[in-house]
Amino acid sequence: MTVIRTSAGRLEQVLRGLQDVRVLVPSGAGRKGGYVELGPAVKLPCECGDHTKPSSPPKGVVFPNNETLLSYTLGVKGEIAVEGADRSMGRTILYGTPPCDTASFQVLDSALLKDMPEPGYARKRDAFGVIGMACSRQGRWCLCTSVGLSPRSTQGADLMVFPDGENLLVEKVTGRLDDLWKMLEPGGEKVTKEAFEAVARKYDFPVENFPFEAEGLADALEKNFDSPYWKEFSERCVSCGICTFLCPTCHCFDIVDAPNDELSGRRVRTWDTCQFPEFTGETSAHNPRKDKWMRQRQRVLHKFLYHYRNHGHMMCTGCGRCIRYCPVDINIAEGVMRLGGVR
Amino acid sequence: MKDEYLPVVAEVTDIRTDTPPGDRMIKTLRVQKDGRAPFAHLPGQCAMLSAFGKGESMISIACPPNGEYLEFSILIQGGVTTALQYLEKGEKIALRGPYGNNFPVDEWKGKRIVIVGGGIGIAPLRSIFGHVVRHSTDYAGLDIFYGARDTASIIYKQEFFDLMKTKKANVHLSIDRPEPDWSHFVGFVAANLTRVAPSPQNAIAITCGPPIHIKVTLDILKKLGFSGDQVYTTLERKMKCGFGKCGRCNIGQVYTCTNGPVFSLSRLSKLLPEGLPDK
Repeated sequence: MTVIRTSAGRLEQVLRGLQDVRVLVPSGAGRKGGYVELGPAVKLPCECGDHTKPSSPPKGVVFPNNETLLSYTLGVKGEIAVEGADRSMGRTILYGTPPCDTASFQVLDSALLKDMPEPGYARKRDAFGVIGMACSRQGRWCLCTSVGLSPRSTQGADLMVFPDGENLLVEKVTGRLDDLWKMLEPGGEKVTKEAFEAVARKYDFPVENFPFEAEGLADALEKNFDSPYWKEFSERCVSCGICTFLCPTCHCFDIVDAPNDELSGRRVRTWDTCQFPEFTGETSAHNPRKDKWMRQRQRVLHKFLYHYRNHGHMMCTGCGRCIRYCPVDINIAEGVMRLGGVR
Repeated sequence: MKDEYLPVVAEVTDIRTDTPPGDRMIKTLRVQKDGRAPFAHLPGQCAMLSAFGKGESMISIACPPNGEYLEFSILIQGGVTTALQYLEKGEKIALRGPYGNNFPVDEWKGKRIVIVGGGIGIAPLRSIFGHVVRHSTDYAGLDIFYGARDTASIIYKQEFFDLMKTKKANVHLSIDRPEPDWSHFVGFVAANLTRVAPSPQNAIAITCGPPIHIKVTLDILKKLGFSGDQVYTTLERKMKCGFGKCGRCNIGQVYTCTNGPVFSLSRLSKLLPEGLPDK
């Protein structure tokens, strides 16, 4: 384990001095906000918590809502010319992401890079790094400890920052931001394991809004696949899909053609949601998830059963956005507690 | 890294109209690139066909691997397939693949193969019965059960009559209602299968068709004594990416596009029952 202590001012100096690197920080917590570029007028976050968490998650940085895959030109005699689109991006670093948003990249990596990678995500991921920050304030919708994370967890982070008064402890988690680490390390003071724990412990508080735990959860949910409760759970759902669009880990997408005219156009990948009836609607009119309770069941089980079985961690990082922004107050944690057993 | 979304541009070198224009027209397109198959495939695999401006559709490859060409039997029904019906011989088509797993044809060597197809479901099965015909010495026999609503709706008609004549397969054709000059069975495929009652001894049965066809066929095969490891089917789901990322073709934790489309009955019965034929 490698940890250094450095002043907040020095880290800011390094981040602002980076050449050809875009640094993004959380901005505009509350109803509207996202991750914005660290320009001269933008303050570098010095703490992190539910109160600094923007309404939009950071997934769009590496997995945009709307991305051209290719453009095509057709000839009047049926000729076809196809050109792939450039889906790379310049070097980008996220700074100050709360552990829930940070962990979303662990989930997205396993979902989008395993076996045959999603080419656009893979390209951008190579140019991307995350500096997470330990969280000091929970909100009423938070559930990170229930899903196996915590306010100090480093999943998804390349470097992790623990604010300590005027100073910061910086933990090197992966080698992905080695160049930045090399700039920070010489000016920093090496920290022992004990000294690190003394600081990190402050971020060890439990988040107990929705007490459930990973142990046995997937099995319980599987057993309750046919439970009549799914109908009750989704009764108010208006199938708007906001729970998935604002989810830091939801990554399902559609591919559509956007014609310019009869003979040319683009093929585009866009975010999609399992909550829309047509998501699984087949041309024959057969739809394996024809009712909204089946679609809500899919959302919950994808996160807590299917992804968990396939990748070993839940596809929920406990940010609470889907609960907070649901227009009809559907609470995924309630569903999970009801069908998965409360600890 | 390979850009999986970029299709190969190939040529439509032959078009057959298998069933007459109407609300369920089926056309078979032969696709080649420079006189060869655009890519290699295994029986049971699929490809994503483009109709630029409309989108893409996942279509089963309806011919056994032969190196020379790919064939697709397409039921003209949605936006993409409607656009594909207007393709003419010599025109270009864009496609990517192959996707999905395959029928374990090597494991099945030495066994009798029983095919049970309903409607357009015979198209993916052609990749397997075509393979068995091409390698007939590797297998102990071939039975093909196939039914359509009427004679006009039967696809690969000439091919089936040729197989009967050359005795390369026992072909059991059926139509739902009687027609003059029809000397084969009249009734559903299920009834024909029950009537002939193929033995499960050293046999593998493969079925595909509308959900009700699959459900009834699986029941009959079970009654005939076929075990879960002797029965296979191939499933379809709406698909967008084809390689396990877009998130819509899953049945529980299994993705039809990568872990399927081919499932043995024993594997199928372990899946969560969402949208499966018996639900």
